[in-house]
Amino acid sequence: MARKYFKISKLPHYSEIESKLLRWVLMNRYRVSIFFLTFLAISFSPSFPYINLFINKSLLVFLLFFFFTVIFNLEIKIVLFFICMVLFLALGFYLIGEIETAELFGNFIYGILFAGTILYTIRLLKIN
Amino acid sequence: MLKRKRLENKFLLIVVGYLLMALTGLWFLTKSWLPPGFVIAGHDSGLALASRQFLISRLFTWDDHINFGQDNTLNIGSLTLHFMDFVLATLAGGEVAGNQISVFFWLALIFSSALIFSFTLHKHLNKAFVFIFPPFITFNFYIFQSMFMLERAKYGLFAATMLFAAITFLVLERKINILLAVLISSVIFFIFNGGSLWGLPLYGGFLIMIATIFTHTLIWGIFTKRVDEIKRILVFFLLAGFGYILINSYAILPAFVKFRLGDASLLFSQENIAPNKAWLDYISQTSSFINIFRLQGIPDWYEDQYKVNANHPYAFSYTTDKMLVGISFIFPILAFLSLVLAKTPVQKRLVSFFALMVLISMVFVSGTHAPLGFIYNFFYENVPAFAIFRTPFYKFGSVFFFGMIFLIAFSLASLIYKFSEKLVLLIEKPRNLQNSKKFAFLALVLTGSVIFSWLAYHKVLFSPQVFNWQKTNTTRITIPPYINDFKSWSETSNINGRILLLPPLDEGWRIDSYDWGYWSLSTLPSMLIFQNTVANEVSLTNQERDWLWEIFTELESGKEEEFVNLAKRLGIDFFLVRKDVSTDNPLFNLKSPKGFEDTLGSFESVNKVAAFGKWTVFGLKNGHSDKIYAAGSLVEIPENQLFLYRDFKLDGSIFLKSKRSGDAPDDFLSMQFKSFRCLSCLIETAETDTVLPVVRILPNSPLYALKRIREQTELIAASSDEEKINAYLGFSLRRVGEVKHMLDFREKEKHLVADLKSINDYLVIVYQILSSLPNSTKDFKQAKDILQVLHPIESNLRIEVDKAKSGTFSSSVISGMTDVLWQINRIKNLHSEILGARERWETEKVFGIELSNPTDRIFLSTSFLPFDEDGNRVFPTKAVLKAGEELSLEIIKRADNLLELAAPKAFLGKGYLSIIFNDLGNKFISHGYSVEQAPRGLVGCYYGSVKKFDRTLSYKIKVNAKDKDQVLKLFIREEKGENLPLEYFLTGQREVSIFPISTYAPFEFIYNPATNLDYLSIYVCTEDKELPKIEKISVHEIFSPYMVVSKMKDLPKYDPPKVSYEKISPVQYKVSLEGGESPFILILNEKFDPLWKIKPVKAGEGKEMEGDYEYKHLRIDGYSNGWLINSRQDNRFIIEYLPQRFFRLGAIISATVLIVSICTIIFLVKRGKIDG
Repeated sequence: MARKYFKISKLPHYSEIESKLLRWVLMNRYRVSIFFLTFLAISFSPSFPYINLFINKSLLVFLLFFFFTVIFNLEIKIVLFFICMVLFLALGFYLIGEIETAELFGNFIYGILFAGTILYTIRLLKIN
Repeated sequence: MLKRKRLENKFLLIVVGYLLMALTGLWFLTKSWLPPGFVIAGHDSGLALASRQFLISRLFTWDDHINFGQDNTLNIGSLTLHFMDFVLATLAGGEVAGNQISVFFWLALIFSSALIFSFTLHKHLNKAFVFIFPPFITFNFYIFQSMFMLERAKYGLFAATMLFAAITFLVLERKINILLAVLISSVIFFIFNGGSLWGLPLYGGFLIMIATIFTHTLIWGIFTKRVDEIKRILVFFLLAGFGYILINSYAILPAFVKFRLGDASLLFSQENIAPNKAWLDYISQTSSFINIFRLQGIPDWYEDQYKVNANHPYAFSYTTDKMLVGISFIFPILAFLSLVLAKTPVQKRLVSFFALMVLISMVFVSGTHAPLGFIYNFFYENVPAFAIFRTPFYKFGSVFFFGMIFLIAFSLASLIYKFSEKLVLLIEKPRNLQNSKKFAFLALVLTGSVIFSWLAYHKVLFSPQVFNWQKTNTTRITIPPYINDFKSWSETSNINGRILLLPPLDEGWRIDSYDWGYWSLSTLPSMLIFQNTVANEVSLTNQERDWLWEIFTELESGKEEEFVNLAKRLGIDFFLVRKDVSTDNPLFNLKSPKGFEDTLGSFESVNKVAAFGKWTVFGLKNGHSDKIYAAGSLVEIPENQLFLYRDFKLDGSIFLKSKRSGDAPDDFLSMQFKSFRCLSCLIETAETDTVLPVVRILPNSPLYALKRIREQTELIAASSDEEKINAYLGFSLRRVGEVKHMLDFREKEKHLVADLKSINDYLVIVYQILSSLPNSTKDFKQAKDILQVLHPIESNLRIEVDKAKSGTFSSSVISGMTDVLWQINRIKNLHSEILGARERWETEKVFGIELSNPTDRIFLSTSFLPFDEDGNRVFPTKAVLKAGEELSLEIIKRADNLLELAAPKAFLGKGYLSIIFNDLGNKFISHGYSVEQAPRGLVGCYYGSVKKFDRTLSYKIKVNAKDKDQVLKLFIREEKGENLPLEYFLTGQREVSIFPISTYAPFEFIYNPATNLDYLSIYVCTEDKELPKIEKISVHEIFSPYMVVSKMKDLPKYDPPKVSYEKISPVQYKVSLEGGESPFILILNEKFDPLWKIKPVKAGEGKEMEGDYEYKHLRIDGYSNGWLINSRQDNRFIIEYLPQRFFRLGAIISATVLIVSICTIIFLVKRGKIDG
């Protein structure tokens, strides 16, 4: 599925990648900026007094990926692709006994899935 | 059209065939689990061994066959459940509810409901889904987690949830008219109502589903402008809710009355449920999202957050086996792949709904687990009645598993279709792919493979291990034949009184456990026979427990007369000695059944009635006890001091005085006891902790002003001097916590100085208030409170002052700290008489007493005095009463457990009474020095054991060191039965650092033993092979006796009438009185409940009229019901339990609604008025 979606049947030339990437950045400049600001705000929030009482490491991961999915308006296929990747990593950590890290990945999956499902429903509503 | 209809019918036939095949499979599976002779019983199952009797008990709001009786109002809802138990047991040819047919029925119910649900949606999804969904929903760890107790209420509600979901989708699609949908839903929830009102938390998942459906439909309707959908769903839900209430009126109405008039509402109050927070956190610790996504996270599987429960029959394999773990990671991918695979609009809408339902339910299933645990915490702490959901995984898991399995089944079904299509297209190009035989065959094979793979993954669920709640403990047992013989005997014998179970249950666990496998909180006889059995089990009140403790003590000490009198008082006529209880289980401290059997056999007034294998029944020779009788007077004793009954040999009815009991009628009290607790004992046991409270907001915070405002509010609310002192002391402690934080973080000194000044000001105020209070210097409670608050302040500030000598802080900070220490000293000096030499209170016990009548006498119960090292009671040598003048009291022994302290002249008013002991003895026996192997290496120890150790007492251990320059640790080696193997020594023992060490005063430690210890050894060890320099170790009991003042009253001798009664049912008695005179107290020997009512039967015009409930209701003997009958206008009475009336009314409503519903459903279906 990933192969089909990203069309990576053959490796493109670096200049092609570069131009595509630049085009994507240009097209999504507002999204990138908003996410960058959100990322900073969320990442540094545990350093601020009082806020650190509410935001812990697990919630941080959840929030980051929730906003990432929402801001970039990710397609459900991409969401699913990410989930597969993260689940694979989580499985690895689980099998080597790093269950706490695997749990952290679980929170990420939840965050991205929650946002992804809401976006999916909103798109459905728009179509209908 | 016709062809389509034919195809539909054909598919329906296939589905029916599939159902029959699955049911056959389930039948043989359950048969292999429970071959003839095996049943499921015990644990938390509520599976009766006498289902008929259990069903009958559910027809009454009072259950008089357990202990001293208990309210049954909240259990009435389980009537339908127990009706099914009875029917299924009858079909199985017995009375045991946990039989093979029963297990088959509940599994078949889940499977069939799932099939109905999936079939309802088959036109929108695909046909493979219809076949995949039911086995997936039936065989998973959520359903089988509670298979060992066959959790019928959960299974029933789970099935009802799926059926309700199916009906809701039909309503939304207008394929069923709303009236029919409401009626069918009502009937479903009449049958599968979650058991009883205790089953309310099981609705957690259902409520999440309802909320998600409604919200989804609402948003959908608003965006797509389909308001009719919103209307339909709203009307359907409201009417279904109304139907639910009406059809379950038989359970709801009496429960409502109980809540309104009784005290059962306390059970749902936040105050009572808040302590369950620790349990909630424990249950949630393994419910991480990664576990839940993998359809795991079942709390039983784990010991702590990451450690698998090695005792669980199969958790280990599924959490450690690489392949099984790997497979579990596929489930979330499969589930959410459905969002990509959904093609049609309806499919997309369904999948989006179920995906949202899964994700929302996960927040609740994970409980207080991070990252979103704060949401559950908020609900738990702030939403009224939400605290009933204290086991989130079990209560919300149903809807999560429902949603996840829907999504997984949908994805698999879609993939099967896609794969089959591709394969068929490789072979041929049929005109209609879906009707191609090759396609059908391939889809069938793939569907079968998918189902087989799922079942193979869950293979452990096919073994009888599913009934194991631990590796070696199972509810799948064979009942010994003598148990049934006892049951048959009980059915044919005339047993009126209560049957006391012997030996008593272990006081710690209160579990009824047998060497042949039965293990439960519900005693076996209570699940087996309908006669009234009594045991010291979990549901007893403190008073009931105290009475049973008394009767066990009398029996063990062989005091026949006292034992028989007490048995008659408690309505106990029979004694069942069970020699098959788990005396070998190291968990329990069970007394030997043989001892009880021998003692009962030696009593002349008790005879052996019958023997059945390992069970023997004894009975009182002379008659049975009356359940209803009259008393002419009462003796008042304070609550929780039932020992006075034994010490003073009281044979009349007792009124236990407490705050909630109110006052006894004064003209009925023949004797009154008032007890006084030892005041000085508060000081002896006062814990002097040095821990400061955790503070989050410091004076340099902008939020600090809010903290100050809150404190001002607290101060304004404090009305009495005591409250003000407590408030100021509390603030001082908090300020010191802040100071400590600020010192650690090197905050600005101005905040430190300000805080220290505040503390100083607070303590000045405390000093001023204390100085102005009369008798303040003799107030032990106040002295204890002050000691406990000032000690941590003093010890922490002293350390800081010592540090400050190195010049770290400015002089203003040091001066601030020394000012505070000075104020502490001033306050302590006010209580120097009490706090000066605290060791004095070990041998001197002070009581504040009050005598109001010249005939009042002072007694000391010796039951609470300590034993010396030879096992003899230590008696006081001197008693002094200080009340203006000092009076020396004579100590006279009046009875076995009673000393009278007689004053040389009459004394009235308040005073302080001191009893003084010469020496408490030393229970420590030294075994000398030794070098022991500890984890760190060899250590030198001085050790010994505690003579005549009693685990029910607290001990004070004192260590006198010869040299202060040594590092010492105190190890308390707790032993049960035989000594622990040596490798465990000095690890996992109670370990205390002996610090600070001084040679002028001993190091003291208060030790409270665990409940199951037999021996106690004490070691004082160094950190290396150097032997410790110890002068002496001493151990003595910490004791806190009661002083009792008795007040005799001259009452006119009332002659109570002779009472005869007829038991109409467990909830109603007819009483007739003969002779005697009023006033008197009519007593019903059943557990006290304010809803037990008495009313006279008056002769009316041609028929009997019932009067009003007008008599004062009293709690007699601390547990039973009594009514004060002042005048004798009436000779006949009715005693009844009020909720039964409402049950009858509710039952009429329920029956009417049920009949009308069924008739209407038949009418509508027959007339074809199905579509909406």
